[in-house]
Amino acid sequence: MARALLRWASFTSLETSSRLPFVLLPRTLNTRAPSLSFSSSTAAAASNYLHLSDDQLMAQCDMDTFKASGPGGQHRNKRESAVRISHRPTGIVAQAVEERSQHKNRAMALTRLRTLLALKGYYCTHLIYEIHILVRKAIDLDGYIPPSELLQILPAKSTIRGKDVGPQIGPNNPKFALGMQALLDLIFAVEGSVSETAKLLGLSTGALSRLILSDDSLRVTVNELRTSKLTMRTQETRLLFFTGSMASSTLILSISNSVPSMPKLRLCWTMQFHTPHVGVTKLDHWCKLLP
Amino acid sequence: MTLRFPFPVRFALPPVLAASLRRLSILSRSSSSSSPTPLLSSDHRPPLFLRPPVFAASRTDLHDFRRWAESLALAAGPRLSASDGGPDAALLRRELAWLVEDATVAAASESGVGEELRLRVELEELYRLWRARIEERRPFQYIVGCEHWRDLVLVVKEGVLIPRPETEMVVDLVAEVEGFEKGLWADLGTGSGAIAVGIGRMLQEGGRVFATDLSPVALEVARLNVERYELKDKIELRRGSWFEPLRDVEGKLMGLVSNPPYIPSSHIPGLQAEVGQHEPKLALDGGEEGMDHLLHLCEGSASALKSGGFFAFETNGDEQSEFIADLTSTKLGNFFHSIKMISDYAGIQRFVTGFRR
Repeated sequence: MARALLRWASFTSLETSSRLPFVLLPRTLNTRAPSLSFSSSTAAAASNYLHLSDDQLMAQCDMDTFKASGPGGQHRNKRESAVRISHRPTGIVAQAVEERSQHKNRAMALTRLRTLLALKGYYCTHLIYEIHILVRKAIDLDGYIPPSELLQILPAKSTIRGKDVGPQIGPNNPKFALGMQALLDLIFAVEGSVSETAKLLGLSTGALSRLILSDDSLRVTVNELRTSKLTMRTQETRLLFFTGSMASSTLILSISNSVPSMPKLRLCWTMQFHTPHVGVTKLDHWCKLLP
Repeated sequence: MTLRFPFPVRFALPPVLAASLRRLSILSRSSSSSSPTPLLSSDHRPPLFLRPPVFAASRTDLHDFRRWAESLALAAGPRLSASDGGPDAALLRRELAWLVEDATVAAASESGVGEELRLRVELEELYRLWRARIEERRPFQYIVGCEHWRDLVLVVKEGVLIPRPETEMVVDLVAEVEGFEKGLWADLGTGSGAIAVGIGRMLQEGGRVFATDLSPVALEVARLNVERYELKDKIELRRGSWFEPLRDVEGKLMGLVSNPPYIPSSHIPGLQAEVGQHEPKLALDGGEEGMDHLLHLCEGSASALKSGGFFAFETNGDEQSEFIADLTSTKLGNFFHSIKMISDYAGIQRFVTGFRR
């Protein structure tokens, strides 16, 4: 409980996006809990780890260097400059081996972590159960105004991009992840339509496609969104839940179906998630909210 | 075309750098006569990435080199890693990419087909260098003449220890000490000057690092690195054994750091060839238990540090750290307090830190 409260405290101090509807992802489910509640008093607002500074984000991570056999140090010539960081709150792991110093591999792994966090969405945390779930932000398309993070990654020819936005930020910039996150929210909100997204961003469809193609992981995620049959028609149900594993999906479903106050869910999508550079393919499970 | 490759390319170095490069070539030649390690003929040349790109090769030539070098790496990797824990094929391929990166002017993939590439060494030399990497097990860092360490690119060459990734953390440990920016620091056995440069870059007005080493080759390399990062007013290099050159600042130091030789003598013959056959024994061999120098450092720190001063020493790991931590908190407990062991990122207790009472 103490840990959960601590986490709640640290989340609310963050710059948070607007309050999102959320569902629960059990991590360490407290079975003695009387019932599951969705009241806002027990729910943390969706937190956006991308707003953390490098130091703050790193403080939430464990870092290691692939357990080397043997004593390391002066004994070895170059083996341990490869770096792996795991983000404790989400369990996301990012790594880098190709840079020439440990310091730079760490920075690269952190950038990758930001990318992975951005691709997955926003985290909602339940105060009592230490439960996390990922959601995409619901967007009101009428009078849509892109956030500045998104404007920054758009090419200069975008008609909605003001002169004051500054030069375009590319995939190698750590801030790219924030823009990518907002872009994915929008693409998700328009049910995967690239042309409609382009229109809202004052770009030609070709220009937006080039932007999407400029980053491999962005391209893969957009394609997943577009080819899936998951996009929903009404605002209330336009929500996907990333659950991390089959076990947690099953648990969420059983909770949602047994507790009357819970929104109804259905497991609807199992995605093969290939993490570039890490060479790991794993299955992510998504649930959708039923009206 | 001319935009991509502004020919003729002139090697425009800042005056400081050009001067220090000249000095390196002169001094390393003169020191080679006094050094016990026979220096290779290429040794007096500047690191690959600092040489002028005065050679040319076609894209196809470089492609052929890469294919040849890659097949050599793939064939040798499994053998080398199995025999003495040497580099595997994946690491060798990364090294190959870095070698090409240092030897060429523009990224090979960026330009169109049929163009000439500018190289910093002759193509034939590139073949020779890679053969030496695989067949002689010459460390990659000596071949390119540099090592990337933290956010620095440090010059290294035969005769000086290649700074290790683990040691990067020593600089972080120093940065955690309150008021470190304005204090007097000493890096004992500085080698390439890695730790000293790492600390020197964070210092403010009044802050200073004394970097000592017994080896003249090491001091010359350290001097080059200090000059490349324009830290001459922050880092003072002194020749001598451990505390010897620091008598004038005894009891005035805010902090002491060192990555002393700590490998037990009996382990030296079994080291991976890159280390055992090419790196200076002076920087590796720590005596029978590996702790000869660490013990000397602990004892010397008591008089070198001022009250409240900080020390951080790298050790061979776990057992050595426990021994040093135990020694400094019991037998030398009158002098030190708050002794801590700190793990490297592979989970090995790599460092011992503490404060002078």
